[in-house]
Amino acid sequence: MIKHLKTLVRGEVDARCLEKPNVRWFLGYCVAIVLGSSVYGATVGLWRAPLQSIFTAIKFPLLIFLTCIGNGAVNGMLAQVLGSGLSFRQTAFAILMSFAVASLILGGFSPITLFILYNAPPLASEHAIIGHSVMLLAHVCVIAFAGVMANRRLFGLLRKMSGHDTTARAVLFSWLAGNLFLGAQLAWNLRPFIGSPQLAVLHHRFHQDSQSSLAIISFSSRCRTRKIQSACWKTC
Amino acid sequence: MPDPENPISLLENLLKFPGRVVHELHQTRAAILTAWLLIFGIVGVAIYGIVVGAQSGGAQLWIAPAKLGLGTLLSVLICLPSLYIFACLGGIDAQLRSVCGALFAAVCLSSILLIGFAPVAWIFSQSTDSIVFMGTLHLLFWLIRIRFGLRAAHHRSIENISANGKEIFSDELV
Repeated sequence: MIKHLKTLVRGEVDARCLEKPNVRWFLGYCVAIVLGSSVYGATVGLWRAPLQSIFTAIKFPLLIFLTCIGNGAVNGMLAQVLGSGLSFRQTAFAILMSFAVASLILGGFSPITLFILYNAPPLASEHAIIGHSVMLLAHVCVIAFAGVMANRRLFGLLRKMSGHDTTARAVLFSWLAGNLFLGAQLAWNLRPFIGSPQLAVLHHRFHQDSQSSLAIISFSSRCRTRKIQSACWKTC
Repeated sequence: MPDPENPISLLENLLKFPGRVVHELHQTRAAILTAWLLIFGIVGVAIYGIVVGAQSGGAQLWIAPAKLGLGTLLSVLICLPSLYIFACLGGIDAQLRSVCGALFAAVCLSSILLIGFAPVAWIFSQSTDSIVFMGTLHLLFWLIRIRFGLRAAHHRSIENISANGKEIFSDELV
């Protein structure tokens, strides 16, 4: 299994593994997602409090699985309509593969983010806001890198499967758009991840403010710049 | 080829190879196929209607799907004659049966896509109270499904290119 995951991260996975999806590989990807993203999630919440790190370690893989499940049907349909030739099962497998790659990269980055955390101003110091900003920036960079690499691997796989660059690109972008759209909303629902230094440690704040993240950013009349900054601060 | 007796294979073919379904509409058992396409089209829209109604809850849970289903059926019935006339004006020797089938295939494909969008819309509907935002989101999903639904109609037009050397514009379906 480890050999297969190494092949996956290197981007050398054969198109045959999508043609005949294997239950063992499916479980392997799930384990990779749980382990990689939980370990990374723990480092995300650790700056705020040890309890927050436990909550984030649980929520990070949950966010990935909920995004996969929520978009499963529409991703499968789009793959078929756009002519990739992938079935629903193959689509779910391919998306799970890319999330597994991202999770493994994130897991690999955990010691580095832990080191940044060690060097950042702690919560108790008077420079707590700088510490929060440093951690936020570091996590955004790491997650962006993991996301880009995972999508590059997914694009390679889609190109092998469909045989056309245009089709592979169309499928990838339609999946990306859907996953970003739903993922952003689910991340908002499952907030906080890092944890605001001003607020108490909570496993979720969903019922405190029943506005959608995108609804707040796009439509709410209360969304003046200062309020968006305030909302973002509380979210993080 | 899609088997009219097997609705699941019909849906699968509609997603993967809309051209095959359109081709089958010219065959002997086209009436059964057309009926299935219409049923799936209306049911798909009604299922999405439940998600739309879940935003407000209560009576809207059955009013929204009923209105969407009936609205779709009425739209199809209103547009069908003009679509047929425009197809003839475009120089296509099309039968009403095949135009009907192509229209139902387009509605069915777009309705299946709406079912795919339903979980996403439901998550958003449970996360916000903003009717404006949800309205815009539903409109966005509606536009995406129409875009893909027109692909089925385009396959119909491609078939006509080979037959008559002319193409019916997909825009006529809108």
